[in-house]
Amino acid sequence: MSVAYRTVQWNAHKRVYDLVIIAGIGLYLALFMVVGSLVWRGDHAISLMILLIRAFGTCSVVMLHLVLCIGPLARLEPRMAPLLYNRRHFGVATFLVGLGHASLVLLWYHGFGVISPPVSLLASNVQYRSISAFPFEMLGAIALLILFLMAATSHDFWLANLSPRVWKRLHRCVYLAYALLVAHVALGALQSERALIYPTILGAGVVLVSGLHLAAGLRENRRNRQRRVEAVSERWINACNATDIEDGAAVTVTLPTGERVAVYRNGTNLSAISDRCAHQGGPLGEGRIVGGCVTCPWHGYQYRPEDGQSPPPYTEKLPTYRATVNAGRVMIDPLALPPGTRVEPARIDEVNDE
Amino acid sequence: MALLIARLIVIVLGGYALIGFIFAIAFVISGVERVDQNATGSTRGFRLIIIPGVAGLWPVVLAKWLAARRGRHAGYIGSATSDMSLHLRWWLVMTPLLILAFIVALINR
Repeated sequence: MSVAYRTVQWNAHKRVYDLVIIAGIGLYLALFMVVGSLVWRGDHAISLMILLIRAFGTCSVVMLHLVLCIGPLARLEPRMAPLLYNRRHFGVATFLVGLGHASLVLLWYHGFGVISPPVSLLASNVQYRSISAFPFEMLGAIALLILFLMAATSHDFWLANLSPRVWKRLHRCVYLAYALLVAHVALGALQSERALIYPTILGAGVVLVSGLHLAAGLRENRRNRQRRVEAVSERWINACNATDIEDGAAVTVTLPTGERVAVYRNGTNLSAISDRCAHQGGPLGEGRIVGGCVTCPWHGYQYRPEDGQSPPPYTEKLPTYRATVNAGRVMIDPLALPPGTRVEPARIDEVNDE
Repeated sequence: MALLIARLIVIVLGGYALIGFIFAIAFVISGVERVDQNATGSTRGFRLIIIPGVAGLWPVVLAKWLAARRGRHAGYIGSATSDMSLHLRWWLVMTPLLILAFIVALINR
């Protein structure tokens, strides 16, 4: 949450997460070097440098697949949400491993000529009309540039100053980077490596990532339709039974406009706020009330249910909605109030004949 | 011709990066607190960690610095509607394209 920026807001969970990432990368690289030196030998022997290039390259591809699986997995299975918590560090590590691969490639294939390595990279192969000889390096370079922009803007400073909407759009470019990376491998390594195992692994990765994203998107769409509620009058929307809402939790409804609203119960008080966290758009309706505040399940951002404001000194705000209870049913005014507007909570024992 | 274009691209990108880096140093020393009050009292590590981003997006940051919007915090991310449907549309388009590109690459091996 905002207030005086620090390099990283460390906590025990983040330390463990980062240690696992670093250990995982080290283990992968070591294993690849050992197995690679056993597989590519004799007539197929490759130099240590090329082995290292392949180790870093495949590691970054595997990491990008894992990073891309975390989001939909967390949507499909809430127990996976802790993986989402520090995903940014995973993304930065992916970029750094990719950068290692690119630096080794530049050094090994373009570093010993009379022209500078970047110029050599751009000019050495211009067969853009060929498929088998396509300059696949450029696809990887563009993907790496996108990953750089994402890694470089991963701090919350950027979220606040680019605006959450622009930041989210920028970071959604990871999908484009992924497509470029798949093409980079398909038009590069898969053109020279004839064994069936390589396209099988990459194909399985593509199916896994695409399948998870499609499954999560379709499920979300279905849930939105199921949660859709209709207007009972010009002003009020019939949301749910008041007693359906567990204390400290919420019921999420989709208004006829498509907006999602989380109706939270805090004791006998009911408050309606936007379902979308101001930080990264997390589903607030899937969170809990902790210490009197609605707590986002993704990164723990907190908001007071009655006014949608983060408790001081934090400054994030959410739109709120008027709510009332009528004959045991929770009614919501679908008109979103400006972020941070205080609304007197409806009471669960309230009887309103409006 | 390819060499000339390559050199031109490298000069343009290199120049952009060099200007960005110099600008980023100046920004983290004297501009960041004017753009974002949360940077007041921030750590040296924070200033170092934003340098690559400032260097990469320096025209955007320069515009913000010139506008000097004080006290700008995270605004609301937007309507709670379109995120997943946009995401779904993206993957509905991208999945067949990925598979098609993959197959074409394999056929042409």
